[in-house]
Amino acid sequence: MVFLAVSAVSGQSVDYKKQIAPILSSKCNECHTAKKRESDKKPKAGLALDTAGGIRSGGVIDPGDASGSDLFIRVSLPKTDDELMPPADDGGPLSAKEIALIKKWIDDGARFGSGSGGGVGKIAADLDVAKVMAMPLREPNADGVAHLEGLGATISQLAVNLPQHLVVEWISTYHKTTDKEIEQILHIAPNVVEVDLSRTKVTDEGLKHIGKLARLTHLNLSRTQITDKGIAHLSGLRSLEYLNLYGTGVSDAVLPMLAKHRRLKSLYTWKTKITSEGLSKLRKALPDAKLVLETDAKANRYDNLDNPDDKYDF
Amino acid sequence: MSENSLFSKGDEVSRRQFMIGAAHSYLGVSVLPMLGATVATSDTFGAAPPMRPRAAKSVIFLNMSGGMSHLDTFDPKPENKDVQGPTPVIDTSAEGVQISGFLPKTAAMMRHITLFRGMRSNQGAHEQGQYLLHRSYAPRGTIVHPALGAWVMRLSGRRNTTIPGFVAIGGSSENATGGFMGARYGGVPLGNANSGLKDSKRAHSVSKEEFDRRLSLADKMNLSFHGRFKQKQVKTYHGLYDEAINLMTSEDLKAFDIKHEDNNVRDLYGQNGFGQGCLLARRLVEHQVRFVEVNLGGWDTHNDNFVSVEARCQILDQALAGLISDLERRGLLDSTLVALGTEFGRTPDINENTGRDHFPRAFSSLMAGGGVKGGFVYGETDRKAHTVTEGIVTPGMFNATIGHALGLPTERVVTSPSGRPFTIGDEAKPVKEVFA
Amino acid sequence: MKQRCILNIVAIVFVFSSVGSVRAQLGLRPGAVLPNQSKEFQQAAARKVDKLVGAEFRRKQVRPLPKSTDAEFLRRSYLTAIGRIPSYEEAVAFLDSEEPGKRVDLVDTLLGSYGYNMHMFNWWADLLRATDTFQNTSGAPYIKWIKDAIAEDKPYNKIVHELVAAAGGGYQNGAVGYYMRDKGMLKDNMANTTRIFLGTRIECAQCHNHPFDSWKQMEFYEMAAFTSGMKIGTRSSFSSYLSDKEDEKDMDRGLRDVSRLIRYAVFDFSVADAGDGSIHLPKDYKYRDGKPGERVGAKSLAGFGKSVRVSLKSKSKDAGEARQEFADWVVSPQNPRFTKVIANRMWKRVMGTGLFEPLDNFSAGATPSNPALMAYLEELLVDLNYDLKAFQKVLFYTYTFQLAPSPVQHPARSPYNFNGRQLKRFSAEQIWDSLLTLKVDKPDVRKGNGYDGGAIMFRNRPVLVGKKSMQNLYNDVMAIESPAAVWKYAENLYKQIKNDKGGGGGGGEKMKMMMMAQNASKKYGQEMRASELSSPMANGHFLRQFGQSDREVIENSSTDSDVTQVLSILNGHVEKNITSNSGAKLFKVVNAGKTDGEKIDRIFLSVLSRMPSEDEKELFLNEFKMDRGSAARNAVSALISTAEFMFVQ
Repeated sequence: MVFLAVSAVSGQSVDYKKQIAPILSSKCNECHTAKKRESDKKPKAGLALDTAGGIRSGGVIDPGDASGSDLFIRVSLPKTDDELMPPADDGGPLSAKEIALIKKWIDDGARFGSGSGGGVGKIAADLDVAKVMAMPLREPNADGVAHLEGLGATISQLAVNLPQHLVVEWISTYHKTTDKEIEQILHIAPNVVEVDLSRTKVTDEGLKHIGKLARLTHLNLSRTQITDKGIAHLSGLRSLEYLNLYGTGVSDAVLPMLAKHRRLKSLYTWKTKITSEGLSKLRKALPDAKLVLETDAKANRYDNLDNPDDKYDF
Repeated sequence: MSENSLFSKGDEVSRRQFMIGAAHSYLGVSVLPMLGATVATSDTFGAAPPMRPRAAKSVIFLNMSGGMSHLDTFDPKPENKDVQGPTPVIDTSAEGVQISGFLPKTAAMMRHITLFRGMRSNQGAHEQGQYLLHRSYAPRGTIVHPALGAWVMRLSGRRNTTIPGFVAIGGSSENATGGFMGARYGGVPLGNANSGLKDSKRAHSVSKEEFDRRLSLADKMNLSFHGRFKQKQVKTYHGLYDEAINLMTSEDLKAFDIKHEDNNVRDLYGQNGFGQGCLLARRLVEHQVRFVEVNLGGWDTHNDNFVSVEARCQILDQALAGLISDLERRGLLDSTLVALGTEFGRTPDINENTGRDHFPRAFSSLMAGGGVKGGFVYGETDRKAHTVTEGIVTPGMFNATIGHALGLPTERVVTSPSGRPFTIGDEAKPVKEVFA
Repeated sequence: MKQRCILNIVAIVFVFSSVGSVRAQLGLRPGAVLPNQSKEFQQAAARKVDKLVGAEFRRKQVRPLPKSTDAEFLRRSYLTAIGRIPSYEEAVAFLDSEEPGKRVDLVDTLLGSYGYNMHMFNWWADLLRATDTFQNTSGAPYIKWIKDAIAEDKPYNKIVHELVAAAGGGYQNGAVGYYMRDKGMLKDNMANTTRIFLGTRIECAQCHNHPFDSWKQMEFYEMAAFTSGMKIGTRSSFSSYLSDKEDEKDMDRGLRDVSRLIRYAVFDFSVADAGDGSIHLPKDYKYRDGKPGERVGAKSLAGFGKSVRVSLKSKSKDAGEARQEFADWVVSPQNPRFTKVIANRMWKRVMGTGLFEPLDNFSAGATPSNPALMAYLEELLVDLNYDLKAFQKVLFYTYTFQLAPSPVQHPARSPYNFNGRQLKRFSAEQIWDSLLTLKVDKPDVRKGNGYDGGAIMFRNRPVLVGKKSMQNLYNDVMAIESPAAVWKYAENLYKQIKNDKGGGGGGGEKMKMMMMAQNASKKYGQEMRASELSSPMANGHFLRQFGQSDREVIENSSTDSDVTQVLSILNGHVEKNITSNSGAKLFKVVNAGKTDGEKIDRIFLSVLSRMPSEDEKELFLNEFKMDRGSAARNAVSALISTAEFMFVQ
């Protein structure tokens, strides 16, 4: 039955937005949704089928091989099978045509974007932090995600039920990641909440781009060549909570700038030119933040300045 | 579909097994796309997202094998000399929390640590106790349960897909088993911190040029075979060669080489097997390895308990405090859970050889970083450290708590190839009270 | 038109013969003694198997693949029958032969060689989870028992009966290893027995009624009652006396180890009390057919032939008799699963794919992919008196076995029609043994593991070789009537060991025993077949890396591939032992080639068991032109790195 229908969909490529998303939205998303319905409720089986991120991270597709993909296997089971999805008493099974579409879409590589990869367009020259802040927080631009991944980035959701909040890292590609690749993060600017640039070749100039990520809360710049100049570009990041500067060229000069990040909770400054005196001053501005300079190797004295009175010594 | 039912009519077990994509292949190879361990999909897309935001990303599990005396480490009873013996007791950086005087550096780090003083196991022999500690289940003759690291791989996949996601340094290689989940979820055992990733460098007997020529010859040889057998298993097998080359040239391979560390950093952890293992663990975590186990043996102190434990503690203290402080100054402690476990504690009664014997009824373990509270004590034993009076934690609960720290779906049932259901903590619930 | 064409082909390939059993074809009267070892019988049986496979082709209108080439048949036969690739000489001998019956001759030779025993041991060890050590003591007697059973072609039903009914000391009857293996886990052992020999999985029912199959928890307990109460270990008072002595202050550590050896190997490694055939239900039993904690008598699973049971009232039954009856029941030809399961296992072993899978979970209502063939194979195995070697020989003789490899990967878990063997990656043991074939002259020489000649192993080395064996020790100790006298015996034995100056010239046989014993104690050997090394090898060893079973769980081997294996081929074990090892046998063969072309032929024949094609020859001639010094090494490395090397075709 399925196989007859395949011929009906063979030939042209399947478009995720036009052909697959509507099937999932009408037949699957009642249960498998990333949207919180009631307080704290998670999608069924931890699987959200209403976002590209949810589908990709849900472990149900093996791009290029429908017959090895649970998404296809489960919908194509016989009606009597209790593993069938959607369940027979809940709208299942899908029509033969729908099943065939899903099969073809997965077999063709399960692409979410508009296909050819040319979908990212240009980054607006006048994009700034205010404009990014004003952008609604919607599902991330699939072409942008794919584009950035193509440049070696690892992109993940902050959590299962937070498909709009993205974490961008350069794992195992850090040594060949420069400002040029980093700039491309702006394609998904409104969605980025965490960025790990540690050990990349990012420069002060590259932090201009990072400075536009209005919703950024976590930024790791450890062991990069950035200096005080670069930090100046981050002044608009009002949500910043975690900043890791360990092993960079920054000095006490950045501390007045950092004092303006009122939400900052953790700052790491080991192996920089930042001094303990400097941090003491910053403490006055940010009394609740954890400011880590060094944990003394020899005495194992804990020099974290977050609570100076509580310093423990032997 | 009728053909399918002809073959295994009513065979629900195998149907399920098929659905789950069971660890064992039915026919021929099921070639694994990546090294070590991972979930099929996460190979393509990186790790599955955690169940909650800002969950820990990695675990360093410190295995105290042999049965670490709780009285002489993390649950001293200074007011009761009968059971305490000569072990001194000291204050820590956390108010009101005292630990053994053998662990002064750890005491300084206590503000990052949650102690579990209500551990309880039902296995009083080493092998069985270690099995339960690592796998949440007691050993059975009909199944091999996966180790905790394999559960982590199975439920969340690798973060760095060029290197293994689960590494075990020292100790029994059984602690790295994928069990019924199969080798793909198992860890890579390293004999010690210096051994590096086996065979990841070109042999001295082969020049770079020769090496490349061999590969190109093999490629050409494969053409006709691949033409004749257009099969996924053949294609994927060949793909492993590309992946091996990627790994051999990967920057991340450096993570396995502790010689890149300065001497003062190596000193910080202690210049011994366990200390250097902890240092390697930190390097691996920096390269997004998910789960690293480091083993410290020698806790089986039936004789001369106090001398032996003090010696063990010197090693543990230096390494543990070094690890926590090093992670912290690098900004990695929030995203790295350090967990320390043992198969059982030791008898409060001191035996005739001034030793302590096996005692699964009450013992201690700890966690640090990874979002757990600092300076916090969960659970309590009576005045003789003999019975847990509050906050019992079983190895299954401990493992579920580690899973929770990573944001894993701890209730997720994974079905063995034989159709039996298992969870990361043997259905135990995580101890959520320990999270900040 | 097209359909008829297919039918014709089938008709040509699969000889039609009249319906009826082989018995009838051979004109045998029912009840006559079968000449079942005769080639005539076995070949006729092979034709019958082909006919049944051919019938399936016709029914499904499958166009049979052509016959395999000599080279394909050669390599496949070696790997399947003796677990390794053929050596250069073996390959040349077969490929050059123009004898019409050379395929049959090869099968006969292979199945008659010791390599067959070695390969068969791996299979048994995986099935029985036979390991070198059981907790404290050596499992050597069990391993030896299995190897002996293979060597004497002990009928399968006899093997199983001896295992299930095993009693006595390990050094008296190695089969008790079957229970020693699962000391303290007799319920699990029962679940394994049912799974291995009856293809039925009841372990779920240990805790609750089976969710998918029909087994009830009550039925599990009734089965478990057959072995419940069985005591592993004998003379516990002797054992604890020795144990106390060992703990005495300032005890000589050597004497302590001798005493331990006696405890572990004589008293502990023993099945003494057979139990009374009853068991208590668990305290949380929750079904209506029994009360929590109630005692129930043993009863065999329903629907598996004439049932056997032990009544709670009858006191007449000898301890152990229940287990004998249970063993009778397991192997009874009336038991519908016993023969089916082993016939299917053997079929899979030779043909690569089972008639039903999984092999050990044949649920009620399941159907083999070819029921008529399954039925015939069961009949055949009975006719062959459960001689597994003869049965496999029949399968090797078939045309089905000789078909070309299937170019298509058959989907998992669906019925296969056996039109060509499915490609399959070598098992870990096949890889190890094939590499060994490239490395040494005589790969099939038996040495080591399990063939220690019963030497007494003291601190991992053989002692008193030729003077006293473990069997002697066992008999000595069991004849002593008081624990104190055993201690005396231990003291005396320790003296003898201390004074033992080793082999002392003794001559050939003794030296050989000594060597074997030493090999047996080696944790890591590089030049022995996998079956002669430790069972299993330590985790991390090449064999385990490539998927050798840990032998903790039934048939736990794996043919999954991963990158660490490739690294080991490129940079590790293979590079060290083969490619860069100029002393490897392979290079002696290659260097004997007079021209570059001849050398290339020899490399191909050694590694891939075939001649190179013209294109391939040219490719490698170029390589030789470029760098004659390293060309052979590079060629060998390249060929071992191909999928062709790694897959059984």
